[in-house]
Amino acid sequence: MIQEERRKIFKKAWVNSIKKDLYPKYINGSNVAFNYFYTELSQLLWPENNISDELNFDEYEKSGSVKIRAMKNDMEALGSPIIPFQNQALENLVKGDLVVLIIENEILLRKLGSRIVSFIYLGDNLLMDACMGSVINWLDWKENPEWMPRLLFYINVAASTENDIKYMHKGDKWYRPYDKKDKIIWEDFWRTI
Amino acid sequence: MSLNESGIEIDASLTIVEGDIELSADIIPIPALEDFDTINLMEDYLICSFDSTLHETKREYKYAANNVTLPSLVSCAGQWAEDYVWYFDFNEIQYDLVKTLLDEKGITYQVPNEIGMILGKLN
Repeated sequence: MIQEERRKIFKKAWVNSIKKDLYPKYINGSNVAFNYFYTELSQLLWPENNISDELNFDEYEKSGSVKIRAMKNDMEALGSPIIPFQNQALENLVKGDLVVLIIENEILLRKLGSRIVSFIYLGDNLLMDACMGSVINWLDWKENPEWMPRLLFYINVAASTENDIKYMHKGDKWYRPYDKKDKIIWEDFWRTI
Repeated sequence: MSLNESGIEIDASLTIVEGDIELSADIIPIPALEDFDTINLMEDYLICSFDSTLHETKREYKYAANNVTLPSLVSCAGQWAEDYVWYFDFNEIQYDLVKTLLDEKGITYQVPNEIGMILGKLN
């Protein structure tokens, strides 16, 4: 894959994810553009034999950010376990991982329901927010006195490719990336993003 | 068994006492299972939540130990959470018994769907 191809795929997945989730569908909804970004990316990298175009994120929009155990269960169904951060550094992550943190300013956010925020790791301590609208540098932003963010856990989206065990499927269509061949494509895509 | 790290989830426990379900937590009052709008039955816990769009009055919870009231949640900045999510942990060997008791009581619950997910679904 050449750099221009990577750029086109990233941009197409990015634009499509924002189009699908510019505003939440439900009154109690939160932005889940990053969910759509992952599925768009999956479809663009593996158009065949791919279940991601059938995934529905309505329930994620309604309660994904408050039901962490449900989210954990779903990630395990994908073969992507939740890995707690051992310290407040983006170590051991690879590009494309999903990063989840909590905001902890008790005065400003005392009554805010959802303190859990998700990001996509872009490498070099850069995080793209769940709305797919902005990128922050963790080294600077972790000092943010208004939010007081703290890293909770991360999810290696392509973890299931390590052992070649295929996880979620419907008939002959599977969640991808799902094997070592997919892993090579996934890593090649993210390599220069 | 108390307020979870997220600040909006409550860890509690479920045991079987004399053939019936008993709920316990450090936070009171513990809602009856019948009161929840959504219950997910997992291998060793229940996920119980309210659909705030269906209720006009808010529930108020306190720490049993010191009677301190938990914050009343409000929605803000595009994030919606008007009530707490309750998790009731139980011993996984009691899964069948818990399932039977829920059925006997006529309590509606959901199990992971055909792709093993709770929130994620297929169109």
